[in-house]
Amino acid sequence: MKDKSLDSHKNESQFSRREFIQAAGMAATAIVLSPALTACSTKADGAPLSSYSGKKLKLYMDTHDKANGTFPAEITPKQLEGFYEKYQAACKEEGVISIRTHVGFEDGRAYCFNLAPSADAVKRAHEKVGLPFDSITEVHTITPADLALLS
Amino acid sequence: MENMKFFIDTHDKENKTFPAEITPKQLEGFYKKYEEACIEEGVISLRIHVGFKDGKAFCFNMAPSVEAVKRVHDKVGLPYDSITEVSTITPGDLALLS
Repeated sequence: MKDKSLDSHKNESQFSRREFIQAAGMAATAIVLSPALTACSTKADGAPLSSYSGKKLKLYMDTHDKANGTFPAEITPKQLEGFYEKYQAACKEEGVISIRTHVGFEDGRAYCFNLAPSADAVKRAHEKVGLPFDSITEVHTITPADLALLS
Repeated sequence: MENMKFFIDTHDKENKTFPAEITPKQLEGFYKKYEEACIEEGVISLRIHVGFKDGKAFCFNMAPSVEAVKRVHDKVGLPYDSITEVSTITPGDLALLS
């Protein structure tokens, strides 16, 4: 794919690619966050965004790995769809907001990113749907603007 | 633009893949270097989640390949436990998979 006419524009196209990547990052971040914002804004009862069911919410990441028997090795995307509905119902009962669940089908791993009042609430949501886990970690987000909120 | 995929990589102080004593302030400086390396490798850093108490970190990236994510980590001298290509399974996202 070597082409002289392409090479002559190399610097220009690299610059715009870099800008594109930065812009895409911002857009994708907005997309990633939108479910959480939707979940919070639908409350509409005047409570602050960080509060749900009257409790302060924190961010948690939990992990699953088929190597440790904490991820169902043979599950298909279709089966997961039904499972996710049950999981979301359990989350609701425990005051947990499921922001995103990421699944690596090939490697048999999963990462659930939740807003919850406590690690115990996340644990109970998993127990209700019979899903074991490797770890539940309270996390912060360290993009600069998020770090500023920490201090 | 290349076909981008999602990846999550993991770090844990138990496995020496997360700097145990790092402060939020130090991480801010580190993040800038990390983001610069991402741009060089065509990786989009969506979010990094750090559990300061447990000494764990999870980076969520869009990248053309797992090798690109590896190169970003190599460039900033950050080891990792695993890099997993992931899909997002909220129903709207699953529909995109089929």
